[in-house]
Amino acid sequence: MNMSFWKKLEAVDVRLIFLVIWIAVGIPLLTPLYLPLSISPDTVKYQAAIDALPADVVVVFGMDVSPAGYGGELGPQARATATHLFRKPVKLIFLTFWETGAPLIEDVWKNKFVVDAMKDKKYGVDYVNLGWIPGTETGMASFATDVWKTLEKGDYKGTKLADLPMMAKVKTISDIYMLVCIETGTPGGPEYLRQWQARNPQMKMLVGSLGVSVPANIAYVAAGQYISILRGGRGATEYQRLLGIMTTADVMGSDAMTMSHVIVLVFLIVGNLGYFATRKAKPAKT
Amino acid sequence: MLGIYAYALFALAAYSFTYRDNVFFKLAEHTYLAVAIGYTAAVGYGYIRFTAVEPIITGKNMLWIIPLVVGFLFVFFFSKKYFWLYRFPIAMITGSGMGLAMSGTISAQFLAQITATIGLPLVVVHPKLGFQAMDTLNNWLIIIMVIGTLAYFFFSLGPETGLGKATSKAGLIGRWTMMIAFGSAFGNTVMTRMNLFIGVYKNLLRDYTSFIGLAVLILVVATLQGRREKKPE
Repeated sequence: MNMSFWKKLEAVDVRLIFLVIWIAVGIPLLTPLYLPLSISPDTVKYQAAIDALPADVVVVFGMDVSPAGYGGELGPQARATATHLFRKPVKLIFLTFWETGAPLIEDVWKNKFVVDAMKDKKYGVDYVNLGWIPGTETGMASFATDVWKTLEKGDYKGTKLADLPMMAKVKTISDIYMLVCIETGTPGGPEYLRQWQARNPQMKMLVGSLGVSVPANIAYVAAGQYISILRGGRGATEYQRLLGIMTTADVMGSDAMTMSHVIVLVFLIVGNLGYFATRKAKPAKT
Repeated sequence: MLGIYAYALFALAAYSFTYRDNVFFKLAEHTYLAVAIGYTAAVGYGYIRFTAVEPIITGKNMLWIIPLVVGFLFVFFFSKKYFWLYRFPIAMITGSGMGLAMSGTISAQFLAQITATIGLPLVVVHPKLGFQAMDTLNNWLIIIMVIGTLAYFFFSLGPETGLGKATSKAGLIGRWTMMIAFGSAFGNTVMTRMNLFIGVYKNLLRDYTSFIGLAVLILVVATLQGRREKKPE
């Protein structure tokens, strides 16, 4: 390959790259390829932490997501986590500190695996939806110190907490055994650490985050503050596979994800080769 | 059916930007902003009405007047004359937010991270599996990289001193550590965007008819508009 090849490559129309991505990602979405997928230790730990939940403990499911995050990586994470949690004999509190998260809680409940897992569960006795709690971090602090006062409005539909039997034993953050937070950004895991775990150090934490937030969150896993983390869309797919709830559509999504990773890697390698090849040819700066 | 078409229209309009800026992209962009702001405003209004306004009207809790009045001062952001009033709610939010965040930050994000790093074992031996080479290597890497990154930001020693030279060399490790971390963050960002794209793409492919026609329409309009914009040159 001579230098003109790399020069031509440098000048390639960016829209051509977009077109290649559309095609490469589109193929597995039309027909599943069943590409191999390894399971990361973090996902195994995430599943094991939920499996190890004692009966009747209270678990908070923080649905702190935006529609964009939910539509991409966090939706599958939330649905798989909810399915797993509903299979356990625990009391579940769904809530959100993102105003966009409240309607998405009910969307999670519409998933066929979630519907199947929650068929023997009774609203108010086994699970509740407290909806959106305003105030972001201030709201978290308020909930931690006095759940009932924070939720004078009642649950998502306005039902008073006194009419929800499982809420009788939930007064402060000390009554929460575990928090599972599916997060788009701020407020999310670090804010829960500051306002909830700092007040109740025994409270266990699991986090499902966007891929973009993984590097920031991984330090908390290493420090033992989070038990584990689901790493973006890849983590969601691994978890679905572990739970045995992957549909053909999920396999197609997983294959498309793998294809997109391969494509980006190829572009990265070619781009770097081009950079070094053309750098040699360029005259040194004076 | 209308929902599917609306979804397909806005998704394709948004992604048509990858071809070139066009009227469909602008429509999608502005609609998204309008819907997001409208939704947030409606939810916020509902909450304030129930939490603060109703207790005042019914006489249950008149103290809610105070936060309502303070919140109303935000309006003076738009007034040159009374802009100073806007500083009161901002000061209250900043003050209470900082106070709340700082109290938890020290223990949860500062001390806990330091304690965890200091407590890392230099040789990892599992009670059943024995010596763990990869975990041991990982712990060593964490310790070396943390020290290197701290050294990079340590400016108190002059480069002419022996200790200063050593700090500077350790700082090189820090620079590489940060570059690797930034690279990892960038890679994860790209993957997140890809997954977002795949999510939309999957939904579009659920119903071919809704999207092929719209895709062609958007591409044609985008091309025509692009040509029209180029003509004066």
